[in-house]
Amino acid sequence: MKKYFEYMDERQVSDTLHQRLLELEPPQKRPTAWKKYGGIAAALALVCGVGAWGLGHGGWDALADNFRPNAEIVPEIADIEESAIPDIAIVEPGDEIEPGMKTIDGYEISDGEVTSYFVLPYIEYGPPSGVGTDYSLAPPDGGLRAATRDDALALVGGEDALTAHLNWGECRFSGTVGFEADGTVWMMSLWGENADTAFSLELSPNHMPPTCCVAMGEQRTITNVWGVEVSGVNSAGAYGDTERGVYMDVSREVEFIANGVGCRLKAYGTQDRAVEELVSRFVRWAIVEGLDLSGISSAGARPPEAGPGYSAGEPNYEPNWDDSVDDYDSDCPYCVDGTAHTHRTQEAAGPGYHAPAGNLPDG
Amino acid sequence: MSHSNRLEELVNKYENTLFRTALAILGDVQEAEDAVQDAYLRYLEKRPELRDGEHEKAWLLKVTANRCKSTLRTRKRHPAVELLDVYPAPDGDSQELMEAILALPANQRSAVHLHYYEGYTSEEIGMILGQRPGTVRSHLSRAREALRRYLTDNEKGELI
Repeated sequence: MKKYFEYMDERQVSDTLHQRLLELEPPQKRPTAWKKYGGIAAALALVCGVGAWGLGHGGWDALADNFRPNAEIVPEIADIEESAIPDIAIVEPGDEIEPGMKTIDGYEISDGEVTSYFVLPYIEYGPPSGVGTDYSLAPPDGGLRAATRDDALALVGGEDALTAHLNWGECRFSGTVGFEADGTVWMMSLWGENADTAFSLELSPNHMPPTCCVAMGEQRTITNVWGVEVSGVNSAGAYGDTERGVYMDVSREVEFIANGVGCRLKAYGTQDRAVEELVSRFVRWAIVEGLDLSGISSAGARPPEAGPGYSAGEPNYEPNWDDSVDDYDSDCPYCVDGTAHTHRTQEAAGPGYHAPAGNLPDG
Repeated sequence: MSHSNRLEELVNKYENTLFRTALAILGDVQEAEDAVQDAYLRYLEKRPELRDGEHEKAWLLKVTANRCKSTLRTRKRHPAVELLDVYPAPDGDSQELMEAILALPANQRSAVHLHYYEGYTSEEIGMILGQRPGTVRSHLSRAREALRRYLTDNEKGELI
């Protein structure tokens, strides 16, 4: 990195800019445009309650006292037409509220004595279109495998993001990841479900996940969220699982492309608020922090046309099923490569026999 | 101290720090200059009461980083004139390294600059960029992977 240091050391502010900076004047005070709506003050104060921030970089100990804002947090801003820029000493935590931007309730994350408040964007939802993702377009020379929690972690950037920011910590994950021949992600379809909500997330690099048809002349409801056009739909159908007694009839769907990733999210739940917060948290994360498909490994992916019983493009990938096998064991190499065999225990085969995973090929 | 004297002191002290940070995040000279100017304008507008120099620097860096993020969000395409076009690297190795760093996502570039060049820890970078320390560590980890061949043994080690 020495060469980086040397390069940056050479970068100096130009004389023109230096002079301009010296001649800056405080901007004209603009009137505080607080709006009251239904009795709730449209004041969004961002708290940066930095306490004893014992950082080793010299002189940081009392930073909290200097960063404390003047206003209090107003936890809920519902149905407001416009969010004013709060008059505080510092914009926190990187999500500036632009004039005219709508927001819904935000969320706090505390890390020791540091509390940060994150703005959640308001999204406009319109009528549904009936367009769905088309999985049959998987590259024939690529691969498919089941999606896992590790994929979700790699996608969003770690446990903090998954748990604290997206609120997916309690979710069970499943789905499918499709790869190009070179191992890069072609499309990812992730299903997440917890006790209260569920979601289907489809992603593709640089474009929207392909759909089954093109809706000609469709009017989409668009919300501009920090410069990204987010298309919102007020219903993605219902999700239910009668065996588990689950039925979620509230849903929302959004589509957008941010930071090089095309996203289609369908969120389900039983309450509008919870579902919309799930969506807004994801939209915020994808736009502000970005999603990363490059960290998702193609290890374990199998060719799309792997044999009879394979359902290319289905969101829950079923492995190649050989009727001669009593039960499919993903640890059994014969199951994995489709060799006809039966499962027997090592004990039945006799001492000293070391069949892989205790299974034996026929013959 | 008068307002203009105070401003002059802050400009002389931190203008290059802010400029380099903005360059690292944005990769564009014009946008970096705008971000620096906006940071000082914000200081003049808000007049935060800050205890000492380190707090001032952190405050200005945070505002600069926020401004850079806003620019990135609204940027429709790659900058028309990139950093290395305006300030070419002095040799082939430097050019290669700078291209590798500028090719990183903005979050990773920011973390790399603030950690390796400015010497901040994950916690400090998290406060500046408005991210959790874990997120910063994740960005640095990914950046280190991408830049592995350019890092010394010490730099490849655990993040402080």
